[in-house]
Amino acid sequence: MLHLTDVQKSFGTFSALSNLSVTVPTGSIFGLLGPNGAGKTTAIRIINSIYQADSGTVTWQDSPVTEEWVRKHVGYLPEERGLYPKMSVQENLYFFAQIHRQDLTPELKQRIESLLERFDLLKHAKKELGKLSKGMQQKVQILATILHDPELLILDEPFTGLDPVNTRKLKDLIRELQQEGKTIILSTHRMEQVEELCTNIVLIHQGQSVLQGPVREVKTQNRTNTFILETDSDLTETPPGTILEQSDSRVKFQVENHEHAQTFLASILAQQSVLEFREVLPTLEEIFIQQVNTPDHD
Amino acid sequence: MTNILTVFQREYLSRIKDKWFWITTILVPIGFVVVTLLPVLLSELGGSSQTNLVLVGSEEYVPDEFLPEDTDRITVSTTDQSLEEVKTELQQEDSEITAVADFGSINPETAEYQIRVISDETLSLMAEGTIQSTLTPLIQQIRLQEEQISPQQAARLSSPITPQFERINADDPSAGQAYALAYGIGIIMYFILIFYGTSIMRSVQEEKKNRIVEILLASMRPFELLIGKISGVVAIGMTQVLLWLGFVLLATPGLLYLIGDRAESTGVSVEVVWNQVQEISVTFNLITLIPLFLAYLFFGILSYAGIFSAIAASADSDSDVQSLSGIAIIPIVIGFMTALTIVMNPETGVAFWGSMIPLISPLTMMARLPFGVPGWEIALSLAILALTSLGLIWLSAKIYRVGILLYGERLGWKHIKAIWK
Repeated sequence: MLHLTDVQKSFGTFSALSNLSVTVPTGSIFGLLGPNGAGKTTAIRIINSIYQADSGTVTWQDSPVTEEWVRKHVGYLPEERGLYPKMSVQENLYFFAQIHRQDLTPELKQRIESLLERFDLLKHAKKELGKLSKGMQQKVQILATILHDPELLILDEPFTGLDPVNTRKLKDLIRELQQEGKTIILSTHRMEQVEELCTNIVLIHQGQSVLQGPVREVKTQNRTNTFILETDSDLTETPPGTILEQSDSRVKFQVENHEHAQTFLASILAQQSVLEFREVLPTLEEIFIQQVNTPDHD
Repeated sequence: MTNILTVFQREYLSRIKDKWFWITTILVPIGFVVVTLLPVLLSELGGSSQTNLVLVGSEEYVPDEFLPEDTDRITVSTTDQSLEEVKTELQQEDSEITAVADFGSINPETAEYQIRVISDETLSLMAEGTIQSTLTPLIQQIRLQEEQISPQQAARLSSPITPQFERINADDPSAGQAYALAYGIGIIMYFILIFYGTSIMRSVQEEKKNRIVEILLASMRPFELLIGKISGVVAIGMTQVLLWLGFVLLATPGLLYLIGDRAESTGVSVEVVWNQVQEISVTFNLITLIPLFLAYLFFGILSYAGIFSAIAASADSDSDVQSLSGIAIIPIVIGFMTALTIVMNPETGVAFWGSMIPLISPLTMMARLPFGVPGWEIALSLAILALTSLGLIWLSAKIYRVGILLYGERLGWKHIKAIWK
């Protein structure tokens, strides 16, 4: 597990992180969320040992995270991409393997080759990187991040610039890496991607953790007691609470507590056939907006 | 150490593979040779234009025996025609006359002879010079005759004094040789320092702009990254200079051959040039001078690479980089100007102190070395330069660490505290 405990970081009088505590479970795809300027990049840089925290600790499996550990075991894809445009794709990848303490063994070269093949880059391996399209450069950047087989991957907006086909390939790769036991921190503003991929999230606002945990748990904690009921014929009874949407046989309603909904369901079941009854949990986007706009958090 | 080596390799290999490295490596010495030989070649090419000068109204002054012999540059002739007639002829398209010297315009009463020289079109500077250098001895002869002084008497009276400068140690160089060598080395040093200083600046700036530095700093310390980059640039600079030296060694026999080929027309033989080369090698002790040049070059590039990389790391825009690099170049310019003063007078206090001030010493000491400098001064100057370069690298690494991740703001006073942390 990666633990950030009471991490503080200031730049002059500006406090970028205030007692930030985050737990990233091993083997999770962890969404690092927050509005612009929340402190996500600072947190990532502290995990990466680019910045030193003013106070607080960062540990991996209960051992302090060291620069040497980061070099070997962390793969970092920053939001702003950068490779050497005058070098070939292969030279770029070899260089990044070396700075991650990898010897250019035949096995590593084979791994690089198979990664290039997987992302349709093998035929461009000898080409100057600057002569490839932005999307292709983005793929090379992703390969440079994972080629040293890191335990912890930090991906900052990884889907930017990718077409739908390569977005799908990257999503598959992320899931595959998770299945291999890797821990992946995914920082993005694309909430639908977080919903699709992440198992856990943290929402940072003004340098502090506003909420965190497994996605399902976070959603449950922020439930609004909104339900949808659909029957095979016109509804015979009016639902309790506030009706949000209604048609002849379908209603979306919000109640003060669960018991009211359960009671209503039991009553309907006695009269009609129910096609669908479910609680509508808030989307992460809704939770995000609600949390960020809460006055306490401003 | 591994990271430094990896960055060093990348910097070195990517630059040495760059076609521009080889283009400049090949073109610079060729350009140097061309610039050196250009005056000779141009004078050969320009030698075919001949000036035909006609003297009008000269019967009273110029006896036939005074007329200079024709050369490939000028022919001088007299005419009985009037000035107006010659001017009319001069204006004709097929006229072979270049200019007319009007001896009728001479006023013998004045101390200075003034003579009108008329041409149809504007004369070239070379033609004007040739006419002046032809008329001057001609008129001097006329005046000597008027004063009844024989040419032999005149020659004895006007012969210039030529001091024979000798050194107690006959192996010491002449001032002219030392000046030429000091000037040449100074120019080379000046351009190399500026070229490689700005080269590393662009490299750091590019890494900062395209944010690759973010990934690099997640993999190594800023100090390792900077040292790797700077050592790569220093190595490539040294490689280029060594290639140039090799080029000079290889090209010398070829140049000697070219000179030999032209020996008849230039009057310079292979033996003379070869003896000169040998004399210069011994006189200036090139075996010592070249390593010293490389040592000053090494620490010079190191110092300026540190300064320029700190500038690129701390600046936020291209215009910031331009302005700050303009300031960083000032010591190089001051060094070059001081070196020019030193080659004129290498024994002054300016020469001593100039070669002890670290950022200008690579230029100033190079200007002094051909004239002979005590060993302890060289050792002290090099030690100061070496320590300063290491200090600059250390300081640059601190500035680099703070500045390289600053985006959207310049390095300011508020960051000074972080730099010293």
